[in-house]
Amino acid sequence: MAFLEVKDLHVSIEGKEILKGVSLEVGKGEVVALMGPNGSGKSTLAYTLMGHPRYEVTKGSIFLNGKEITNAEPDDRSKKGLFLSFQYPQEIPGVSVSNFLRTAINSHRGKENPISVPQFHKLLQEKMAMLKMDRKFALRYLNEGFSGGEKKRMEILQMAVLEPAIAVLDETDSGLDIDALRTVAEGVNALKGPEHGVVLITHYQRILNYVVPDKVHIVMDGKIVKSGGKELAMQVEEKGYDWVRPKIDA
Amino acid sequence: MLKSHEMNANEPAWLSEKRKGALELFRKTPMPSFVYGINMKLDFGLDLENLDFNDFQEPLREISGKNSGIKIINFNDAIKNNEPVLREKFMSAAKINDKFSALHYAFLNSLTLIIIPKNFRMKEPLEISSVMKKGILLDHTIIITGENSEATIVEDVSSEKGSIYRSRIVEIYAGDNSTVNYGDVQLLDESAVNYTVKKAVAGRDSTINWMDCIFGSKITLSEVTTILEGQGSSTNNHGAFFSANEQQFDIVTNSIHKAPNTFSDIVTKGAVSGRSKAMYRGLVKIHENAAGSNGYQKEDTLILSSDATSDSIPNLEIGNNDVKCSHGATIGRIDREKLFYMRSRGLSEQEASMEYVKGFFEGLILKIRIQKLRDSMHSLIERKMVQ
Repeated sequence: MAFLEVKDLHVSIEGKEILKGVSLEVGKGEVVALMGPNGSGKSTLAYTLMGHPRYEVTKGSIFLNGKEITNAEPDDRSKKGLFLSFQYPQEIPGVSVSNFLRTAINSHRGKENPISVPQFHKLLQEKMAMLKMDRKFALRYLNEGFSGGEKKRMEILQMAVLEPAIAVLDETDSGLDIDALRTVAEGVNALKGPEHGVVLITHYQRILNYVVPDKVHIVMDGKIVKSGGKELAMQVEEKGYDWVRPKIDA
Repeated sequence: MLKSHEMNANEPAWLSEKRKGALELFRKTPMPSFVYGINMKLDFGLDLENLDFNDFQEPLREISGKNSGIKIINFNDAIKNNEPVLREKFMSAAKINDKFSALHYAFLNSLTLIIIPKNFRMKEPLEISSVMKKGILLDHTIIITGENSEATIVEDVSSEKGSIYRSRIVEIYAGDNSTVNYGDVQLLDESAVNYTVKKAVAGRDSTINWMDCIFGSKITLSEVTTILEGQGSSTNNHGAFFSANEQQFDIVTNSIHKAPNTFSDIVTKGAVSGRSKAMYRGLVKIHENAAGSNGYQKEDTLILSSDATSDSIPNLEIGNNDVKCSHGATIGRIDREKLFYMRSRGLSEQEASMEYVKGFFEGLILKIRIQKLRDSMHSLIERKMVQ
């Protein structure tokens, strides 16, 4: 069984149906790309997977490691191994990156087993070095005053520190210059491996040059309309989403 | 009720006269309405007229810190050996301006005079720690700093259950070019009604730094005011409050610029939870002759529950055109999107709220000059969060 299983998911926001029956499987060790034009429902899927209260599941279910999490709290999902890299990360004034990540790690480890302070700093510095981040970032308030690229890097840092079983990256590539994109891709590739799966949500094929997907799904109008291997991404890049669209009508 | 001048048979005539005058004013002055704007009304719920003054208590007090050279003088000693200073300074900064201060001066039963000699620089803070017993305490402190001196005083107060009423007035007289850092942490039991006034008169080129923390009591009426009387004097009037349960706070901070080239910065941050209420009022007043002065004021409140209420009124009164002033206030709630973001990393709703609220206070905490106070702020906030 795949680690993440989404079955016939229907999701509404304020009564308007956005996802109209999405089914998806992501196994550990797999990279699955979700591509689609703006407004197709990709971000809705990402938020719903993480349990945002505004997104109402009207039908269908989500399973993580065989356990249903359709109505689970977001922190519960995180502890079970799910991670979301936000398209628009929130700024948290007054809470330093270092403090926040230590609190997050300790929430995962439980009250009886907190990480020691030196051990935590070693881990943090290691991961920051991998992502070519200045050490000073550890002391800055989480995302406050960060540039778009810095925020995305901070998402990947959080992912690297928490080492989730499944990481959902919601347009983490958007707004990045080529160097930042490479660094982010390296971070994702470093996480990849038999114990970790990745869902890459993207508008463009660009990041897929650096993180090679095992599967590609095209999302349009709240549904997965086409699935294939990495070559599908190339075709979309070449022919645009309109190339897929007529096939829905057919 | 006792007559005020029967309080202490050894008191000099001038003090008895002041007490008598205060008692008259107390009887004449009505209680404030405690109504602010449309939405805000505090329920005072204590009848001052019928306080039983047989309940008078001396606090359990400890003054510590290695500072030989400072004079710490109790009420009797002040009357006996320091009468001219006492007479000059007592009730000079903090005058009677309401029913509570009248009551204070009519019946005050505890007084400490602290004198810091000129050129004396305190190596470590003077800590005044008190535990109020059941009953009533009317407590007065006068602090006088000599020229070029530096004093750091940290006060904390807590109380036993069953405390009824505490009135506390602190008068500070900062000598020319001296610095006074005054930290206060109020942790009274939620049975106590608390009235506090702290007023400092700043001499030429002197600096007054306040850090006033209001966490305890059933009701607190608090005023912290700096009167910038000397040219070039300055004040950082910082404060934090956190009301929970049924607590009610009425908080006032003032900067009064009376001389040229004076500087003031008021920063207040507060949180309200449970069914509590907090009213904040602030004033930057610039007198006509205070050219070249700067006065700033900023107040932020975070409302943590739907039953808690808060309001703030920042005020500017400017009597001179050659000044820079600004003021502002915000009232907000926890941003649900930020909470979701933190929870997506594994923090429970409670943990995420805790980080958010600590983060809200963090900018203010970093400004605290007194290290011990800075270090204890997180745990004080944590304690209020789980109440």
